[in-house]
Amino acid sequence: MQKTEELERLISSLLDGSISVDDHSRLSSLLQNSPENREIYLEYIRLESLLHWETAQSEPIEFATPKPKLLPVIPFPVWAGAVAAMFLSFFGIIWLGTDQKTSLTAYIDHIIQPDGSSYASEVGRKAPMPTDTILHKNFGEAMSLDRRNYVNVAIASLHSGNQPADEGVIEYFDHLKRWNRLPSLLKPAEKGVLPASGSSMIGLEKMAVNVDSQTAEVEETVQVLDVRMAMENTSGEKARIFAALKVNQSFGNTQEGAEFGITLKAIRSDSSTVEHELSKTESKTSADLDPNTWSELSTEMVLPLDTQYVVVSLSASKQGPDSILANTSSYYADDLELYLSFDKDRVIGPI
Amino acid sequence: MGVQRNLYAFILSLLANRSDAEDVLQETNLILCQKSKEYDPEGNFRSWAFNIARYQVLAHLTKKRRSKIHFSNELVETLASEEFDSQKHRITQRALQICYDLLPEHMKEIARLRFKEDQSMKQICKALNRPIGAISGTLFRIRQNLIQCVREKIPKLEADTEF
Repeated sequence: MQKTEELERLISSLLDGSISVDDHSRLSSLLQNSPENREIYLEYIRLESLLHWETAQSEPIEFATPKPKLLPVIPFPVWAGAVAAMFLSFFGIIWLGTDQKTSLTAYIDHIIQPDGSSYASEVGRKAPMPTDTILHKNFGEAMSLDRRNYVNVAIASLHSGNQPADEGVIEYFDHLKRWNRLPSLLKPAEKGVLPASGSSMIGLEKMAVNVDSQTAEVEETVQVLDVRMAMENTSGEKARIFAALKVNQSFGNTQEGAEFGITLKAIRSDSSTVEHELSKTESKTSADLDPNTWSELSTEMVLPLDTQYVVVSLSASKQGPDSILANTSSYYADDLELYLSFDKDRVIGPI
Repeated sequence: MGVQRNLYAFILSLLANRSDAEDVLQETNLILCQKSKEYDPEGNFRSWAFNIARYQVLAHLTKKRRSKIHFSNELVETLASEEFDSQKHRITQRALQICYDLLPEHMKEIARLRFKEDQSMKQICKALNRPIGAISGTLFRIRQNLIQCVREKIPKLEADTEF
């Protein structure tokens, strides 16, 4: 008993990163020499990994109650200036105190929540999947990694049809296949926003805040359509893809609505790692601050003849001082509809 | 879902550092995508993925060797060869959901900061204004408490799943 107590204590301090060099070599030898000790060690690791990933999902996330009532009391410019100054000065202090983007983001999220509640810091802790990079790395680079990665995962899944798609399901339609990540992003009504239709809506991840450039942005690759079969049957007809979407923003401490966007990208992929962008279209709209109203946006693209896949991504962004407060609000989309149409009135969709 | 979770736990068992484990998981995922053509659909995806993760861990250790405390390659190989039981992982997950709720309140607070908010020890000390020794002592008790509780719950849950 005594022996495992020592072992368990060492494992615990190892996991907390507070183990000394001597204790570490002691632990190493305890593990090296005993299968029973390794079993206990793996038990702790299993627990640690589950705590890290799972408890966040098993408990309801507590949301801070936003305080929109503050707004009308103080005239807008004074309020905005004061808040911007406060946040910039806070940030200045933190910036000196840390060189790590990760903890920086955590701090920013904390400052934003006056009661220190946990909702903002929940970000990105659940699954160290590609979306997680948004918080861990410089966000420009993270975005491209995120998108490329999901597109690759999607194409690999669409190719094999049975590859374990950890995020995303494969769906079949008339002459179309689709990799769809939306089910994992669905949320019920929350933070004062009701779904535009049905009982759930798409919740975008938290925005990645870049304080240097005062921008905040989130971009999600949500679907990849495999149009190879549909395009084979065109016999020269012009194929078009049409997408429509509704977007909304919850209450928060921001002064302006976010700019939402939907992007369609036609690509072909020679091997699973090489993708060529053939055509791209993007449509943006600014949402209002009223969580009761949904803004609509739509976009259309003529598919180049050699298109194999269409990547659908959604984005939301903010600029200026408002961006620092971006994650006091949440960003939603609903009613995403896609149509693939051909010249002679042949339409696949809505899907 | 399952493979990612298991891969993460596997990598964590070799590195014992959460942020390193996340980095290696990301690198592993990229390689899995890049090499998806090489994967034999008849083969065992899990062991293929685990093997790639093992190489990524070793590569990571070589890169970081100078700066941090790490297990020797020998121990990493020994740990990597331990059987990784995904069934056990699932059952533990269910037991943990019950056990986590049973933690005393003062433990829950620290557990929340450490596991859910992923705060560093330093941050927690600062937030609670307590010395690091006290925090790491409490975290040890939390882990011990949860392990004990999970051990007790597992036989019952295993019996339930058989029917």
